[in-house]
This record gives sequence, C-alpha cells and structure tokens, in this order.
Amino acid sequence: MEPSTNDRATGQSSRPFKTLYSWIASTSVNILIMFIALNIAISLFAGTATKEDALRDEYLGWRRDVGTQQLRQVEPNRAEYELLDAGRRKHGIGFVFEPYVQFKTESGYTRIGPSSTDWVAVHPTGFRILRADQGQWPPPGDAVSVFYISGTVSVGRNIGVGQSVPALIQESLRGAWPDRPVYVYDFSTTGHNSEQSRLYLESLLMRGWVPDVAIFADGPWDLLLEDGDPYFTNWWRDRFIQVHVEGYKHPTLWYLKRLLIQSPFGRLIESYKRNVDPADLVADRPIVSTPSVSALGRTDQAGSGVVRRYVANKAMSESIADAFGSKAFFVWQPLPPDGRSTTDSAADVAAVTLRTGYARAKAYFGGHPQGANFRLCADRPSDEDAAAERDGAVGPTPVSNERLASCILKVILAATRSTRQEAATAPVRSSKPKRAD
Amino acid sequence: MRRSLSDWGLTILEIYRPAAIVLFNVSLLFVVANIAVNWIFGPFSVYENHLARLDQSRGEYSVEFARKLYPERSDAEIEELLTYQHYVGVLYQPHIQVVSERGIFSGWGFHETGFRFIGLDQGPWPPDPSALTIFVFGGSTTAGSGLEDDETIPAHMQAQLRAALPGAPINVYNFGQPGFHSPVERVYLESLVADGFVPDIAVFIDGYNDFHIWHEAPAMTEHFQRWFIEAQTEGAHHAPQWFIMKGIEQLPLMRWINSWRPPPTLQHDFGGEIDPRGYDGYGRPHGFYNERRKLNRVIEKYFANKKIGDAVGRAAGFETVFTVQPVSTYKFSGPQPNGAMVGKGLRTKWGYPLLKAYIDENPPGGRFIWCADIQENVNEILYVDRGIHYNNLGAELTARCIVERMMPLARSKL
Repeated sequence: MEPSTNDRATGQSSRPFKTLYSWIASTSVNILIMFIALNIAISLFAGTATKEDALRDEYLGWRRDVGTQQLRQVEPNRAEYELLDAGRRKHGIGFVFEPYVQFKTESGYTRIGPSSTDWVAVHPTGFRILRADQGQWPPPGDAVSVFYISGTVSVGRNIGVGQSVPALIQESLRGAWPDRPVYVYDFSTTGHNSEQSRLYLESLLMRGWVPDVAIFADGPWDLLLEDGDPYFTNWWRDRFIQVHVEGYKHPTLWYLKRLLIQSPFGRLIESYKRNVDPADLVADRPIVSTPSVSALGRTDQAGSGVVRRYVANKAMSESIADAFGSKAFFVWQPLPPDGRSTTDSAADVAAVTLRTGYARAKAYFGGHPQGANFRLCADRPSDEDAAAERDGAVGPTPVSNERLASCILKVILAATRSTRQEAATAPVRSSKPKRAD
Repeated sequence: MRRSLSDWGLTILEIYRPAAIVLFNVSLLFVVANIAVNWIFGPFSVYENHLARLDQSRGEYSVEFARKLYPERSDAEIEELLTYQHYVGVLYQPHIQVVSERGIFSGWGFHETGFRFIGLDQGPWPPDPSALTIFVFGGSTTAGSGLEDDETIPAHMQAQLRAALPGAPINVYNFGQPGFHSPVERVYLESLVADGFVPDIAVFIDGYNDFHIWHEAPAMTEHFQRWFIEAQTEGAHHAPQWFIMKGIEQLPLMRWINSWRPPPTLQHDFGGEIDPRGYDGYGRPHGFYNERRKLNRVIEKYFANKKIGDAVGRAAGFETVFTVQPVSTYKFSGPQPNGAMVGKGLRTKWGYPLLKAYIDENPPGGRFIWCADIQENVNEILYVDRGIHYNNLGAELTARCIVERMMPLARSKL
C-alpha cells in the first residue's frame, strides 16, 4: 500500500506505531462487530432457549397433558383465564418471596418426569394440589379443613402426590370422620422452620382462612437453621445492603461478564460447559449452603436454643389456633431418607447436626412432656434406613411417608377421642370466616 | 459515472478504517478518563463517603452508657456497635423485612435488636427481670421520626410512668420502626419472644400506617418480591442494554458525576421545605383514599391481628395493649404550618370515623385504648411535618393518654 500524504508529513519514525495502533483499533472494532453478528446468528439459527422459552414450553405441556380441570375443581368460580394464569409458572425459580414466612413454593404446574402424568401443582396460596382429591379453596364451611404445615415436602421424584403425607392423612381422616368431607391442604415448603410454620398459619388466618385442624410437622430445619434465621437470611442481608447502599452496584466487569453469559453465544458456551439445557442455566438451585463446619462444635450448645425456640413457637401457634377455634397438632418429624448411612459421613455437617440435635431434642421432650397434641415422630427404624441406603433413595419414600402419616394420625385421633369422643363428630364449626381472595 | 463493485468496497474500507480508529480512540479516552478520575478523586466507595460523615456528634451517648446494653462485649466491640456500618438506616431482618440499623448517628441511637434508645435513661438489655419491662411497637410516629431520642412517645411513657410510680423499676423499650403497621409489629414481637425476650407488657401504637398500607403485608413486600426474582435469575430477564447501562453507571467517571447529587439524609427529609409530591400516593382523587373495600379491610386486619397478638401474649405470659393513635385528619383543628396531610395516609380521614363506629358497635376485648380524640381541643402545633409525625408535644400527649389508661395494669404488674 502506498503511504498517504499524512504519513509522509509526520515522518518515518512514527509510522510503525501508527500502523500498529491502526491495526489494533480496526481489529478491536472488527471483533466487536463479529461478536454482535455471531450472537444474532446464534439467536436466529442455533435456537438457544431462554428461561422464558422453557417456561412457555412447560405451560403448553401442562395445557396439553393436564388442562385446567384440576384447578377448576379447586376453584370452581374462577374464570378460565384466571385458571390458566394460576397454572402457569412465571419465574421457574422454585420459590417466590412471601411476606413474613420469607419464601414459599412457586405456584403453577411443574413437570417432574417424562410422562404426561408427571406434574406437580402448587396453588397460588401455596398449597400443593392433591390430584383429584383436593378440596375446594377457600375451604368450604361444611367440610373439615386441615392445614398441613411443614418444612419438609413429602412429594419427590420417587413418590407421587397421592402418596404424600397429607394425602395419606386425608384418606385416613375421611375414614375416621365419615360424617363430613375432610379436605387436607398441603402447605409444606422445603426449608421452613417452626417459626415460619407458625407465621404461615398466621398469614392464612389474617386473610380469613381458618382451618379446623392445623398440623405442624417440624424439626429438621429447626436444627439445620440452628440460630433461628430462616433460609436465605444471610443472602438477603447482603442483598439488601447491595440494593440500598450500592443500588445493585457490582463492579463494571460483573455486568460485562453477565452480559456475555446472558448473550446467545454465552448461553451456548455455558450450556456445553455445564452439560445442561441453556434454559436451565439459572434454574432452581439453592443459594444458601448447608451449615458451616464451625456449626459442628456449636451443635451441643445450640441444641438447647433450638428446642427452646421450637417450644416457644409451639406455644404461640397453639394459643393462636385456639383463639380462632382451630385445633393444633405438632410432630417433631425425621428428615426423609437421604441415601446416606447414619453411621458414617462424619464430615457431613448436616447429618451430624441432625443426629446430635435429634438426640438432644428427644431427651428434652422425654423430660418435658409437650401435651396430648404433640408427638415425637423422629425415630426412623434402622431397617428403613438400610432400605433407603440400599436403594439410594433421596427424599421421601412411600414407606417413610406412611410411617410419618401414621404417627401424625395417632396423635390427632387420640387427642380428638379423648376430648369427648370428638372423632365421631369431627371438629367442625357451623360458621367461620372462610372467604375467597 | 457508474462505480464498480471494487470501487464501493474501497470506499467502505476508506470510511470503515478511520471510523474504527475514531471509535477505538473514544473508547480509549473513556477508559483513560475513568482511570484518571478514580486516581484523582476516588475511591468512590459509598461506604467511605458515608463514614466520612460519621465524625459528627455522638450526642450524649458514651461507651459507659452502652455497656449496660451490651453487657458481654468489650469496649472495642461496643465502639464498633455504636458506629453506623452501612448508613442505610434500616437493614434486612427476617420475617419483618427491615429493622433500624444499629449505631448512633446525629444523636439517634439504635440497639442491634432494633430498638431506639430513649435517652440516657435507657434500660438495660437484656431486660432486667426484676423491673417492669414494657416493649412499645409502632411505626415511624412511635419511633419518633424528626424527634430526638428522649422526645419520642416511648421516652415520654417511661418518664411519665417513673414519675407516677416513684422508685419503681420501669424500663420502656422503643421498638417503633419506620413503615411498620400492626401485623408487622406483632411479628416483630413474636420474633423477640421466640428468641427469649419476653416483656411484661407489649404496647402497640397504630392507626396511620394501617390505613396507609391497607393490606396485611409489610410495606416493602413488592420490592422484595422483585429483588428476589431479579437476583435469583441473575438478571436473565434483562435486555443486553440493561447490563451495559448498569456497567457504565459503575464506572469511576459516572460515580464521580453522581457523587455531586445530594445524599438522602434525614436533614433533607425534614430540614428544608417539604415537597408534597414526595409523599406516597400524592395527588389522587378522594375516591382513591376513601375506597370502602380497603378501609373495611384495614379494620378486619387490625382486629384479626389483635386477636393473634392477644393469643401470643397469653401463650408467653405477658399483657398486650392496643392503642389507636391520634392522626391530624381526625378531630384536629390546630395549626399545621407545614401543610395538611397528603398521600395514602389520607385514608385515615375516612377510615378513622369508620373505625370508631366499628368499635362503638363491637367493643374490642382485651386491653384497647382509643387515643385518637386527645387533640380535639388542642390548638397548638402537634406535628413536625405535613400532619404525619408528632412533634415533642404531640408525642407527649399521646404518651400521656396511653400511660393514664394503662396505669392500673402497670401497678398490677409491679
């Protein structure tokens, strides 16, 4: 290429630098333009699905496989478009923020398997729909309504909604109380401790939804969240300061990195790296880790604090339920099988915390009876553990659910029988403030 | 004359290369400017900017004063606890969303549990079991926005109770929090009870915020719901330009420019002329404020909450006192030099008569105090801003109403 007039004017010494600078500038801009073009091309032809795409597919699948019949049975007075909206997962996170209880299960239909029947449904109020047996919402005044509130969800990959603890309780109570329809509402939410369980009931009561029976099944998360702060708390503390002091002020590079990751090209690369669908890159994953190793040393001291807090919450829940004419029952439940041996995994902080905590809780409850409406259902037979370990079962199993449901039923039926044979009449009031949202 | 394809290509190349160099030069200049600004004027840490202002007076509070509030802490730890850390004013708190940030700033003092000091007569923490312990809950009118620590309603309550019952050990704790309404206050109390902090008496002072925030949820719920989704999806729902703009905002040059904007401080809120447009819900038609459905819901909410609060008191062995506070829109004709109330709090204008009628027809059980009438014939300034927060006299009169009515209860608990 012939040198330009300007080149000649500025002299020979600056020519290499100018050429290099010009080359760097052109190349940088070229790369930028190439990157934009590449993203547009990938977006048009490679079809990297976004979260929104995945949620839309899920929604269409639900409409095809299940439809709105189930939801219409729960809320017959809702319009079709309201039911369609209620059945659609909107964020695909798994949880949504909820006042007071801090979080609750995201509502809508979630696909949990390849079959057209592999769907789990959560009502916008927060309860998991028990298939065809689900009672109407709000609870009808002529039925016995039972709110099952727990930090452990008894539905999982290996177990359907019909085999969940609330479903089993509903089935048994219908047999025990044949005079009235019995409707159980499963408000269990993974990660809730007994304080959140109490707050869940309070929130429902504040909105005018009063159950006849409230069952609180807590324990595991009281021990795992030993200082009483719910799941997400530390994360929220940091986030709140970020939002308020810094206004989402990450360093500029953070935004650039996120921009690259969120771009079609970035999603494609990331999905290959992690071997997941691009739409699942930011899906349902826990934010808070299990208790730190330092928690191990504090388990013994914290154990008493955990039980004291649990007992305080139980007393408040009981009194509140009583004020609204509801009967409250409490069980200290086991953690569902986790596929690990109870005798090893010494380094597993959560397992050790639970084992130590259960022993302390059992000792405390043994010496301090909690009344006829309480039962320690935490002991898990060793053969069940062995079976779970053998099968590699993670989460609830039909056997563990049946055992827990049976334990809960014992305390309910014993308490209601002992109070003037109430099992025969069932705890139903003629009028109560149950209303639609 | 027609140009050939190669001529067009040459023309594009002639334009493209200089354009690319100009673009590159501008970008380079921008980077250099950012480095220079950060080097000369930085660092642009919000914390550091706020901390620079923390050398303002700590008021009368000293480490000696704070030792009774932090009995198991060293003096160095206490010094740290008395120092604002984040300068947010409120920090995240599980269940109730926010609680006042601990520390002392410009004479305002807050304990890490969230209560505001009531001056040098502040009782110890944890509460002395041999003393009569009263927890007072409410919104910003109870916390005492615009007032010194010893001018708030709980501060006056303690002074009045101690004066009426000389020698009796009585400690009042001001758990008022900006933006709280009755359900949030009750949950706050429950958290304290669950943690083992049980008062002898819990007093709730409500009315204004219950109508302002007519539903059950805490005031910032919508924000939290949005933040949760945004954070969990790590911005997946944002368009590319959002990341670019956010990234640019964080550059030293942009932060230097933003640093010239006035910070949101209490002085700015209360020091100058108050712009009514800043009030939440300003300028709506009357139909917005007197919507009967919402007003009725407030009343339902208030008494459902009272029922739960009373039950908690029974369970934990303390007394509850529910008080309806005076508001400038109800039976008040005194001067309001800063202007009359505006915004969503105006619901009280229609809500209070409804609430009074409801109470007359359905007398509340338990301990319930109606203090809304106390300002009826008071022709003095009682509000520090546009008819929302009390001045010292307004706080004193409200405290007197509560103390006089709960005196038999206080005597019985001593």
